[in-house]
Amino acid sequence: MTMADRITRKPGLDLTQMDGEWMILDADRCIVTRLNDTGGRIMELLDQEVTQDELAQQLAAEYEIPTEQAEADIIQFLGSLKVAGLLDERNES
Amino acid sequence: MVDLNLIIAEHRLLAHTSDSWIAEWLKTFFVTEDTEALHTLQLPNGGMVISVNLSQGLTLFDGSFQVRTGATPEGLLTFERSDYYITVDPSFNEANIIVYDTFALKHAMMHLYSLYIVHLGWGLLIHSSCVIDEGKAFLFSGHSGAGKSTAARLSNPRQLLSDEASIVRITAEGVTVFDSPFRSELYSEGASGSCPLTGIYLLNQSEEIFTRPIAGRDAFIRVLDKVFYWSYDPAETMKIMKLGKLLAAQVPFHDLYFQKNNLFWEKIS
Repeated sequence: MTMADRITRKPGLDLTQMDGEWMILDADRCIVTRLNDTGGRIMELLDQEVTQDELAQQLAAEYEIPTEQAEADIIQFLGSLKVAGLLDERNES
Repeated sequence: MVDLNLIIAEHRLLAHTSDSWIAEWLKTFFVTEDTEALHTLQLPNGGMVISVNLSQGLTLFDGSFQVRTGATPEGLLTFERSDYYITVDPSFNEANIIVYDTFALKHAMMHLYSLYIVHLGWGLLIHSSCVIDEGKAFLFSGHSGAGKSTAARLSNPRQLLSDEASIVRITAEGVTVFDSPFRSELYSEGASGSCPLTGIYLLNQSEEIFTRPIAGRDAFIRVLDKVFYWSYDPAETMKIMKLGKLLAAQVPFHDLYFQKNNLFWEKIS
């Protein structure tokens, strides 16, 4: 995955909130994944195709952090989402 | 051929069988009504009726509760265990059930009913006992051996809605438990009707008796594995998840630490 690759979350996931906490419902595999606030926000943004660059810029602006830090956090979080099988693999080359 | 009109919660199952032992078992454990009455009956929610043909066949339960799901070339859904075989059309108008014995018959009927109420988006069949106390229903659930039926037994003389599998209707306007014919030992008289659900208690055995609230988001996850269900379609699984969330958002959940005596009722409210 590069900063310019377009990514989205896996189709069919349901992103929902309960008691202020984000959850992803994956009916395909009967798995519920819990996310913190930033994770939930990233999953919201991944509803549509975006690049890592665009994500980093968006988060840097929303959370008022340096773009480099946002990029590093995004790369790490996307890695976790990939391992958890929550990204749309059709976008991968 | 025997035709029986079985009443389960707000649903009607029109059972047809040529096997007398199947007819006798159904008449013993289900509330039935005159099949003639169905023609004039005004059913709630526009009428939820499924026709079920039952017959004997297959082999003894082989010890595995694993169910193989699939589809026939004609597009019927299939659910297969060593001792029962269910086919049903995707719209749930008509089902066929082949069973080996009464054990298989009970499980197959629970299986079909669970599939049916999730298909309708009506509610869930939850592995639990349910007791009415002062007009409020309380559910007791937990892992196998945690004390679900013990809690039900110790609640005497309170009225029971279930001792094993509770029928829970879940809507945005409220949650209601109905009398369950799917019992393990404390048989239904069928007259208990329904009652609003006030609380769900997850059982843990302990020297001390106390309760501890469970946050809705944890309750949601913990209730999902208490549902009697066999996934065959992600869209149906999503319905369960949504119903589970709606349930956890409306009904308070607690862990109940209890000894096997009736003192735990002092901690229930």
